Amino acid sequence: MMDALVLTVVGAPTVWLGLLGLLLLLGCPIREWFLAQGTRLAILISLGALLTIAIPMLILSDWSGKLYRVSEIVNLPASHFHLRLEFMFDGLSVPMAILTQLLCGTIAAFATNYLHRETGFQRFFLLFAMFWTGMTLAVLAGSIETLFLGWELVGLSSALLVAFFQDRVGPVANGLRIWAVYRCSDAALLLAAVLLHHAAGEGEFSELSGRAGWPHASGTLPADVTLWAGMLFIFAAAGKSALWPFSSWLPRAMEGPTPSSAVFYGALSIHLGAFLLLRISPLLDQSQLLSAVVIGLGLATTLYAVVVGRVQTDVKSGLAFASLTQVGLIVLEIGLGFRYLALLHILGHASLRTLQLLRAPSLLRDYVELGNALGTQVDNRLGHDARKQGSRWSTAIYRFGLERGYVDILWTLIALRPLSNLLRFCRRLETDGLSRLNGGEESSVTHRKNSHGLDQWQ
Amino acid sequence: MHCSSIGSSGEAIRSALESASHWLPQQGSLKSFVHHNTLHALEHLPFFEALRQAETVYGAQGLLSEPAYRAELLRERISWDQVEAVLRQDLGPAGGSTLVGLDTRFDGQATMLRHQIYTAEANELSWLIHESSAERRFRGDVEQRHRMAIVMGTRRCFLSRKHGLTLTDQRTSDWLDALLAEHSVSVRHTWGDAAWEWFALRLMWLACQAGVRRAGSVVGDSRLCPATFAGEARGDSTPPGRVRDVLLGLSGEDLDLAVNDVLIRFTSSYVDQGFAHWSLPGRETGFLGAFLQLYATAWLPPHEQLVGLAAKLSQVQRAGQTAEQIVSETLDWLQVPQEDWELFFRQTLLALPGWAGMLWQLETRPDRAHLGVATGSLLEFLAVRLLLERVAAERLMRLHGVPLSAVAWRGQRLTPRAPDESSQLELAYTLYQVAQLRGWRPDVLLTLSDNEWAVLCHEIAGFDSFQRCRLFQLVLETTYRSRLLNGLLDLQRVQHPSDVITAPAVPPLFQWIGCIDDREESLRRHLEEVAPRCETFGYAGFFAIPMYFKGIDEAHFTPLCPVVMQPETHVEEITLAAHRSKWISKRRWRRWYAIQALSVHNLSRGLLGGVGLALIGVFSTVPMVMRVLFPRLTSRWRRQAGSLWAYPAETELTLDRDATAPTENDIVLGFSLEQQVGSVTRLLTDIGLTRNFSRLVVICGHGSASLNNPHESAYNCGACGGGRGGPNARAFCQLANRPAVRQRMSEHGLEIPADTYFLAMFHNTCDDDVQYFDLEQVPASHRIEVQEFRDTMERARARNAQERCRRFQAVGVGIEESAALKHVQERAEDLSQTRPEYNHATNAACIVGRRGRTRGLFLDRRVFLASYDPTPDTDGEILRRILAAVVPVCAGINLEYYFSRVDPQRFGCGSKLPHNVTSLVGVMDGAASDLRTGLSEQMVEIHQPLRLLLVVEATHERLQRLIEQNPQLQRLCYHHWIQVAAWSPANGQIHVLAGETFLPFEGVAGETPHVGSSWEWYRGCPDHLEPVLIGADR
Repeated sequence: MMDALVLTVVGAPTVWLGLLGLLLLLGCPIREWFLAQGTRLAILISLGALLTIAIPMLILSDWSGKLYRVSEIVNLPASHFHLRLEFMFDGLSVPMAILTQLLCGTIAAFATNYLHRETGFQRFFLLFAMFWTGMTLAVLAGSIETLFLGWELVGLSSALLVAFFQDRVGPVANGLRIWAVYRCSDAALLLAAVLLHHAAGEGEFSELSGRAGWPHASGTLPADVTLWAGMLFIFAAAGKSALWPFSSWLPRAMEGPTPSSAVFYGALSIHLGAFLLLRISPLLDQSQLLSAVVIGLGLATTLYAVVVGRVQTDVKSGLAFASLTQVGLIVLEIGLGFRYLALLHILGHASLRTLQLLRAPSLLRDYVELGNALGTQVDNRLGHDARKQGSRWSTAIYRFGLERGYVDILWTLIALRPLSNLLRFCRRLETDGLSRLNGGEESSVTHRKNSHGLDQWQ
Repeated sequence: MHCSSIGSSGEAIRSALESASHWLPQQGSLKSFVHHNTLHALEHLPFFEALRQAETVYGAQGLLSEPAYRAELLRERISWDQVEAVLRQDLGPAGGSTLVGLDTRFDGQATMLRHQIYTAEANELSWLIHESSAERRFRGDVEQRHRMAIVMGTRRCFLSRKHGLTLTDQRTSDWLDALLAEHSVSVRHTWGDAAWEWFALRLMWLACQAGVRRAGSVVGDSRLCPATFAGEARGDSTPPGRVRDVLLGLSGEDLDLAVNDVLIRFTSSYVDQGFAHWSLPGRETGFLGAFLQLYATAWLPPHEQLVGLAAKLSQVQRAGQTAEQIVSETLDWLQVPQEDWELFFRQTLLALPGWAGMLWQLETRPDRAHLGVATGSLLEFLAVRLLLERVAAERLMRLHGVPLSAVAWRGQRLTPRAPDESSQLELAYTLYQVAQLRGWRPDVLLTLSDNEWAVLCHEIAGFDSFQRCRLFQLVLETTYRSRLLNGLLDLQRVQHPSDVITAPAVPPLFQWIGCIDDREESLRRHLEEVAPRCETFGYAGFFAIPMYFKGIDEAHFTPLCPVVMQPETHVEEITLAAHRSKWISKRRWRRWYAIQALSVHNLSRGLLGGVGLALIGVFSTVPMVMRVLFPRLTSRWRRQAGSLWAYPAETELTLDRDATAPTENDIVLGFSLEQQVGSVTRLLTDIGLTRNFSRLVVICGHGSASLNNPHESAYNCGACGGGRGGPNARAFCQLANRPAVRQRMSEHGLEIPADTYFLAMFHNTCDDDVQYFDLEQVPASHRIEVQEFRDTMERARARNAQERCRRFQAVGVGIEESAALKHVQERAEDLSQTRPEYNHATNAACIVGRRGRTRGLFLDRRVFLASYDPTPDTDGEILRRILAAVVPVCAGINLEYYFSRVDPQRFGCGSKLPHNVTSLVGVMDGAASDLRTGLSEQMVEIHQPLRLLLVVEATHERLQRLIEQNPQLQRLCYHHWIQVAAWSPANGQIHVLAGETFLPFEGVAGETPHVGSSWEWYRGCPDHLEPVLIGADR
């Protein structure tokens, strides 16, 4: 019974994604209502199964968690490798999964109207299904390889949805930038997975927390593995959650249609890094250094986002940095050991921010209405102390905010430019080497001159 | 820098900038959206010339694409005969002239219209020719007789050994000999049809290519491209471009990326109306001052391309340079001659037209924003932009070793344009296709002289895609025009004279006066269908009451009148004395609630408040899920909750002049008796309602309310400057009901009977809700009439909702009236709805005249209807002021829709989906972009871009005189930004303006169908519908 439910929870999104992908691959014209109703139905099925699992847990107040191995459920033959599809239903994953299904369902309903008649309607729903599948797999993952699978799907769909309006340069460039950051954090996660497998022989999270169940720690990993794996996990989480100093991609992510911005950067994928930290929190408990790093990251992110958020003039960037402020705090809470608080914080913040982002286009009307009720124009700067205006410090801080903490330029100067110089150098080596091999001839492919008919007769 | 010359050159810079600023979009803050002609800068040019020029200046297209026009022709069921008729008229007598003996010009152009002519870039073309069957087989749509003519002609000519052609061109002759040598006579004798087809087409392609080359030798090689053949609109030499364009071409790096990145961030901080929590330091010192203060310190550069910015800026700061000096230094650096300054500024500003335009609007109309900007901000914006460009450009020039002379203005002009090989190939391919389609034989083509080729090329290249689209545009407009005018004439034929001039014996059931808005046309029609004994009128929706109005629940006075007017009066809505204490407590509640809401909004963006809110944030899933899944139910609950602090229904307007109240900027409180009498008289005489009053006269203002829609105010009443017209209707009725006003009016000869009562109402065009004002003041004697009217209105608005629903794709076509009403209400309340209503998306015409002459014609919500009775208007004075008020508003709406539809990306604001409200003034695309102006794709997607057809019930002599008296009208009419027709009140003849003269319109009688009711005609049809006669009794 439980096995069937578990399969339904993770199967519904996967099957829907596969079906959609197949239909689109075959070039079937899909009607809007089919996509909308199908998505809605799949989410309802998954949510229903999830609630059936969750309610007994709630009644019995038993959050210790249970691990389900897909290979055992569907009776796959035993394999010689240790990559397993495993799902964990515990006090951390179940609330997160419920949040995921709820928000995805709402946003799917929202997007049905919002993207009506849009040429990319099918593409949006395909990517949305991919995101939803990735998110479900990632939060319910019982092993690091399952998590990685979901994590990848989330990253891919996020980057492609940022570049949703692919006929303009801005969205595509920003999508690529996000993709690049995501790849770095993916690499870190993959390394961590390899490290864990190497040390423990398998990638189950219960390996970290021992028999005690999340969030209690009684792990048995050697200290150096803990430290290195932990560092890699933290790196991965920082990239995914746009923690400082990776924060500069977050406002750029606001290029897609409003609903995708809302669910991704207001609600779900921005918290995925924090979720990862929660999942591996038993590691943090074992190492004060790791905890300190997490605390430092959280603190830096929060301070950074507060300052930068104060000077943003457009509503979506404003909300992006507001989100980041809270994510920084959540990370701080995790570092300080308040695990349940952090979980509650994630759930509440995701819901609140999604609503705010969905309503973002109403800003002008809201401000007029508030102004009418207050009897004066709404001006957020009223509280800001005008006396300090013009002092060197306030100018410097303002500039820091307007430049988004110089993160972009620093990355460009420190990492990107040396890297691109290196690549350019390599290219030059290659072309030089090739031309030498070719005996001094130009190695570049010359375009065959088009003979325009007339030439043939000369 | 010569400091002595700066005075005079500063003046010249300012004036050049002023001229350049006309090219910027004229859209102000989105809080009050005013429709205007997107190409207002080009209004002094004839329409199509302006489109050509817009293409070069804005890089935007002024017409739909050819496939889009073909689709429109199909949808409108327009036959090719109609297209050819328009072409014949367009060509005039020149159409019959011969085209080097091959064809007539008319036939050539008609063929190019009828058949899609394919074209592509050179590489793609040569691929197409060599790899596809284009060189071997006829196009699929070549007629059989033309195929036969070409193949048989070639066969006859080349079957024998000697072809007998005399070729003047040596190269062609050589090629031909080589070709013939390759396929000897004996081989040719064995050929079947397919081989001859291949041979004929090969020859034809050869002839066309040689022909284009030879034509080029006549006119000069470099000019041989379709664009220059097309003529005068594009000059011989393109003007010099921006430094950025030159460097992009040379280095592949776009310095605009860095410059725009910095400028967008900074400008949005500068114009921010209060969204950000910290204000820009040094904002009060102006754009340049604040920029220097922020960026002159040597922190990290804002962008890697702008390394060295701080050094440059501190140099400026040390020298104390003004914006003029910076600009003039750049002009010197690039050696821009003074006559090109305007062009240079225009090019620079058009790199970010939206933001530059917004600065200019805030600078010149500070009254229309909360926070204006200092005078000279646009100049300083330009100076900062030039500084940034210079820093970035100098870096690129250093890196790539580009000398100054390459980017300087003068230097650029001297670089000759490369001869355009690709356009030669394109032209040859076009000729090749036309030759097939017209059956021009290759042997004839081969023997044409150089001069004949030049004529042929000139003709074919001159009828380029723009010209073809222009023709299609004319066809669409002509079709709609004849359908509408024929409808009017047919209606006239079946009408009884008493339909037009109401019999004085029986006053109508009620009289209804609404806005001229095209969206109110359907409501009027349905009112008339539900209550056939009523009479309706249209007047600009401010109802002759120009005022600054402050509602009881509003904080500010907003102007409610057309933008061209400046109100002189404040009117305020206040509570009756009896309710004052109750209202004060409610207002306190409302204020408290607003403070809480605002602090939640702000705290959630902050640190600690955010924590608190986030912890209880789970509960926000409830409103979110509710609002998305059940928008109507949620909004009903919200409204019920809102009634806690809703203002009391019983309020009054401060309409009377209060001399004691303080005046600001010469704006007084209330109207004097003379003004009151004047307003009421003016409206009634303008619409011709001076006798035969009903017992009930209803005045109906309109507006629109929708959620999650930054462009909400664009849906409001255009005659109220993007405001809602309810207060104007209410004020008018209160004035018209006053005995003192009526007394004074009767002294002037306009008698309103004592038992006539004026009732004000408001129509929400989005959810078709109606609202009545001052119902409690209705005298007991009129209660029954009012109740009956309200019942009528209930049915009319439900039918109106039903008619609107046929346009929405998401609704089934057979929707019931009540379900339709529910559907439109849901649309208005739905957060996820990007098309709450289609606004003016169907507008196409404007009729100024008596309703009697249009009543009974289904106009499909496409026509602005302004009432005007020509009978008492002996000297045309009334018509003059009606035209002056109505035409600019309607033309502005029409042209804004036109341009946003033909190029939604450049003239419009693109798709709504990624819009991001910024600085509380406008929207950007996504994270950072130029400020987007114009209308969104979702607003214009069903619009058919037609120039407004203005039909005026007046003799054409009078209309012409009035047009010539009003310069703006003259520009619009004589340059054909609108189409004009005069409809004689006496004999019913229609004259249409062509060029600068009126020509009689010859209609086709009896083509307009008859139907029983509007519903019978529109049910089940989502498209535009032609006018039909309504009414079973006809």
